Amino acid sequence: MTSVFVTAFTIYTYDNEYRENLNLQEAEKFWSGLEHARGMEKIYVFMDVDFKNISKIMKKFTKAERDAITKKILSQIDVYRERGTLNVIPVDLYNYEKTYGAVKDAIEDLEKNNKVEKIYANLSCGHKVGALAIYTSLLNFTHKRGKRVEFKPFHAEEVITHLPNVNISSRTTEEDYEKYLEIFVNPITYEEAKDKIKKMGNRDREVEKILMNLLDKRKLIEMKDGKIMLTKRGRTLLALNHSLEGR
Amino acid sequence: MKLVSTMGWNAEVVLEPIRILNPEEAVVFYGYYDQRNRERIEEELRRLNEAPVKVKLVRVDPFSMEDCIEKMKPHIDDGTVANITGGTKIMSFALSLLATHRRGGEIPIIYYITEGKKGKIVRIPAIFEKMKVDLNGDNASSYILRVLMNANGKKLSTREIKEKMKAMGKNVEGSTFNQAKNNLLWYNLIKEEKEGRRKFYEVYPVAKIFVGGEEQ
Repeated sequence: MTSVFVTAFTIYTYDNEYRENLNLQEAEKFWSGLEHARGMEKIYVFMDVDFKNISKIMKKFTKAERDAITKKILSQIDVYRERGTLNVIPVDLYNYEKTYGAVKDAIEDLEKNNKVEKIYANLSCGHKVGALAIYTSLLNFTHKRGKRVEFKPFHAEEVITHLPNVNISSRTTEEDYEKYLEIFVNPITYEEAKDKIKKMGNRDREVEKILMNLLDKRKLIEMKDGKIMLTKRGRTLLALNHSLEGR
Repeated sequence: MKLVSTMGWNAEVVLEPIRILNPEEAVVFYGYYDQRNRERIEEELRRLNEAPVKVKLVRVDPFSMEDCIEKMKPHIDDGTVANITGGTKIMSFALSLLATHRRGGEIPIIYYITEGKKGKIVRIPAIFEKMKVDLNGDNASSYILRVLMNANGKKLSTREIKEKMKAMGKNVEGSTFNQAKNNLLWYNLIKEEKEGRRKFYEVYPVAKIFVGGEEQ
């Protein structure tokens, strides 16, 4: 049985007047978050900064930035590294799917040798898409394992904001049924829908699964007067997907 | 389509998605925490006049999950797309959770990124999964949550919660209460504190996402 503290970390390198403030805030959030790492057996830091380059990056920083990053981030990382509890995982925190996958792999690897029983996650640091990916990836892990894993996600800035441990899965790990929405632009009967989905290379059992997913689980289509059609949410999603595909 | 966006220091993360998606309606959630921040954000808000659609502005407290939920929730409906690119993480987390856990069904979440000089919209592939306990149903967890939410931030003891549940017509045994309370603790929606031999409970503001609103 093991407990894990998860956090992200970045250093802002922009050449503008806001960089200093962002780096000071990042240091503060990292530091406040670590308060919750006490007693945890493993610390995972997902970061998009190469340690080898940190002193080079910090050369152009103000003294306040250098001091904050050194005292509140780097020295803390050293403490946990010396204790042998630290795992630094490089990842592009701007990329949701890569971060989601990196967190999933890391936590599942850990689970192979030590059953994870407690996860605390500081979601205040790093880029927001990366932080969101860390959150949803851990939610998915926890909900697959059930109540034997205690998960406490939070955001630490000015006050601690507790985030819910609710189930969110990812389209990246599930089959994507949204491509079938196109079929329902004009209302069609159940039989017609089955034929069209079959023609897209699916067997009978898969057809039922696809229809139930869109109809029952995601409510993107509905049955009215004997015909299946897109719901308002279905129409909105299809319009969005078309725009993203450049259609 | 209605595009609702969180915005901080850069209006471009709202303007570009509006240009690409061409929504009929646009709502922007913004907020500032000091004078310098306010001036910068107000300058960016003026840029929203360039948008091809009238943009409705809604001010939120950028560090308060509770305020974000309360102000954002009424603007989300079946035709909404949520753009979480700008603003603070709390603003983006609030909008993401409202999007995935909306009672009427999830709405899509997007993010605008720039690669070199080009920008593009990326969808966040998060999908809502049904919770094992219906927090709006006729069960003990739902009643405990409602009692604690009605307490307006005040901590309540086990006895006080049970009395209030009874007054609402829900009388439960100790074991049912414990199981229901443990569900809420596991969902991280409430906090438990011990004072001597008594236990007290308090609800986290984020619970407001899961209670109320329209039926699916």
